[in-house]
Amino acid sequence: MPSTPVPDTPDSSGPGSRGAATDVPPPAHVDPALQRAHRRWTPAKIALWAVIALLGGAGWFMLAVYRGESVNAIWFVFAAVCSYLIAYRFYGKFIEDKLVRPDDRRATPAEYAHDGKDFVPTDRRILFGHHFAAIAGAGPLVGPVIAAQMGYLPGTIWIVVGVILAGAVQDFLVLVISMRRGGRSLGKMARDELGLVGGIAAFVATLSIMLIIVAILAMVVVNALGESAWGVWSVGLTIPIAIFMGFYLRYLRPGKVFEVSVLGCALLLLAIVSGRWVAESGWGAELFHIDRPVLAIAIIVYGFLAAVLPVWVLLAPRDYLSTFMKIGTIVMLALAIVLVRPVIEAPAVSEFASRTDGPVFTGALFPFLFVTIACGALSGFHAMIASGTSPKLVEKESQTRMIGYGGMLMESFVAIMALVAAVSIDQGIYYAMNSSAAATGGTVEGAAQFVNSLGLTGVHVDPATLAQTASDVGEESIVSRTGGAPTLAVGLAGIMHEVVGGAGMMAFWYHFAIMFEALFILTSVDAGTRVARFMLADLLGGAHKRFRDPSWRLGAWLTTGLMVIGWGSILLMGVLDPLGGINTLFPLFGIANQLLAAVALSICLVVFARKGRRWTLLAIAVPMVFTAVITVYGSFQKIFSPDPKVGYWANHLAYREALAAGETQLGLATTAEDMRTVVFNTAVQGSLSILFVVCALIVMVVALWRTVQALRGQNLLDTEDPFVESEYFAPAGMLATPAEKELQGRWREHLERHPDKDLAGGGHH
Amino acid sequence: MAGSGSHAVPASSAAPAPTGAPRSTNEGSPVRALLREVRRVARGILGSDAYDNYLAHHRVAGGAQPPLSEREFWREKYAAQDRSPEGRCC
Repeated sequence: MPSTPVPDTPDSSGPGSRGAATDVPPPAHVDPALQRAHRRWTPAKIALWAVIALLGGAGWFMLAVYRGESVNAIWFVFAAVCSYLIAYRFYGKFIEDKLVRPDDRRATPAEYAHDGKDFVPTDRRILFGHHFAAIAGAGPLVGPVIAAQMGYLPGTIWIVVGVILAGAVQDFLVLVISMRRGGRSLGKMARDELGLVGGIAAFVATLSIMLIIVAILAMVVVNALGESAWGVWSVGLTIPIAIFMGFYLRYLRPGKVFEVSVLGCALLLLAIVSGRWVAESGWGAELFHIDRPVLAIAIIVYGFLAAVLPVWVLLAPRDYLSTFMKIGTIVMLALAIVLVRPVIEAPAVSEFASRTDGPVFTGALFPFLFVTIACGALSGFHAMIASGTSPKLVEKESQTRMIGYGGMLMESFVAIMALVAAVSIDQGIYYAMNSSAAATGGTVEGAAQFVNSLGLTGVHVDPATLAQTASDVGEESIVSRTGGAPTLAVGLAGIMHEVVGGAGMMAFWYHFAIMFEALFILTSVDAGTRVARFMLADLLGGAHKRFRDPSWRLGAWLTTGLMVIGWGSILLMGVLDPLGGINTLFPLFGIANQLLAAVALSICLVVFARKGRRWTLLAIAVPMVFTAVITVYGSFQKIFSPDPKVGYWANHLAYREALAAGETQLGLATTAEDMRTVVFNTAVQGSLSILFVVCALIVMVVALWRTVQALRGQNLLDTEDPFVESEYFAPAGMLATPAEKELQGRWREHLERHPDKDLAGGGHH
Repeated sequence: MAGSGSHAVPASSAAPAPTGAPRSTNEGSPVRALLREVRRVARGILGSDAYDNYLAHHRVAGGAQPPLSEREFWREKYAAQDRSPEGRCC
């Protein structure tokens, strides 16, 4: 594509040419002196930041120290939002100035490779929304709910501190290094920076981690929809609705994405409302009351079809629907929390924080809290998004702090809201919903008995309350609805019905929440399957070239089938697990995701060491080492712990020995058949743990070695794309500074005279 | 803006001003300007403005052929997405 704009006046930009002749473009960046003037401290600014700091401090004081009779949710909002603002302004800025050092004289890929399709200079506020919609899914909604077992405080601290020091830093830096390399993918950068061995380990880690993430997300949906006629009906209807949207866009009104999304959203609400009639009718209850194993198979078949169908039929329209619902619901929930200000029911630190045998997930607070909450604090999967689409759309290098660091802060806020929703429901109900069916027996009586036997202070539930809650939300039962989604839905319904609809709308809001979580997850399932299929095809292409041809249908089906079998078998294993599934598999999901983060941070460490950074590398090394410690230590416990409640292999051996001794029941498994299943499942889970940690360790060791080499001045590869002078300007932050506005005005005038230079096509905003 | 002349850009598709005049505060009331801005950002986030971006690129790069029609463009766009999928996070 001959689309690279060739500067006709090579020496034109730069601060020296300000206000020069008409044909010389204005500079591509604001004069640094003006910028410094803007950043100078004034009394008003100092007062503003002092107020923010005081409000945030008050929030943390109320949550962590004062902890009166009842804590109000509004303090979570103050503590989190003020911490984010301070972190963005000061720590994010520090990383930008000392480590990233963006250069706005340098053209971004969107400018120098502009093609109007993949590479398009995109308004920073649009790109912020776009990037956020791509990184945020069901993850930040699920992890905090499960981690609420330890009380609200450990989770809140990790979500806020973790995002500031680790998660947002990772997203920011990966976006930057990929942008400097024309939007190169994480896998490709691993190959470039780490060499063959490190590259292969990163590839195996990424592919297997992707499969486990898809499997566990699918399990969350299966658990939310199992034996729920209303849920199956309304979520099932999203498929025909999306297909309708796809045909509408293809044949009726191409390109009218906004219009069809509004239409689809209205149909979606109708699907939720009509679910009540279906669930209450005899035939509907019978037809859509589906057991979890059957649902799991349905999702596996669906995942295969969705990944081989052309994207316009199902994936693209559902992605529009999902983005539309995502942003709408998150804004709505934030407003509702501020309006309703629910009172928190959970203790700050629960008894399970100092134990290893919690019913929701097992293991000690350190390290398992830090892997249970992955998305929202630190998510390695984001590195795949931050290297890919977003870096090809950035207008100016200095916008990356807002998009990378800021986007991740937003996701962290979503996690805080999910935590608030989960800890605002009655603790007895929380444990009844999140303990495995093997523990509760699946009945309200069994659940009440189990929860009351936990011996937690202030936690008591009776069967009538559980039955009443189930009927309030329009379900047959809420006992052992593990996976986080149903608990979040009860919490969200509890908050939202006070704003809209009253008690009669509880059931609507519950199913609204289930629907939107299922929507995100199904989108992740088919997008994940597709990406994994292409990775596998690329690998197989080394042996048989034809696999790299995407139009070869047989190859596409074969690779898709293999990937679906990969995650499908883990999904089925989890659904059929006699010990509960979520509580054994969720730590694996978290560990996998955090190991990917350690891999991404390792690559960033090598890149910036090769760029000559020294002490500031600590901003990468500290979160990397922390992540490495929690994941390696977590994996170590999962592999070697002698406690069968924690270690996969200890459990494996315990069941094997019991079987060999001729016993027919042990712990939660009540038949010899179940025991054999446990033996098999724990072997698979234990082997996956070993695979992940070995791959990630190889990557980290190679990365540290390369970093040490770079610090000694050896092996200094420069993998950046060459410098291209920028002839484009856009402000850096959410709001333009006076100096930026002035420069924008000059660019507008210039582009009016030279419309052929107007890459954004419509002027600068 | 060298006008997309031959090319009918539907009035509804918010390709900003046909004359290249920058959208500025003097068009209508501030409320309308704000609503327009909200609409522009919302369309951008959904990706509804992809065809406008393509036309803008076509204008700047000045290809020899006339640009694709809106229908052809979206077919081509989805076909490209089939060939290289984008991940969605958890």
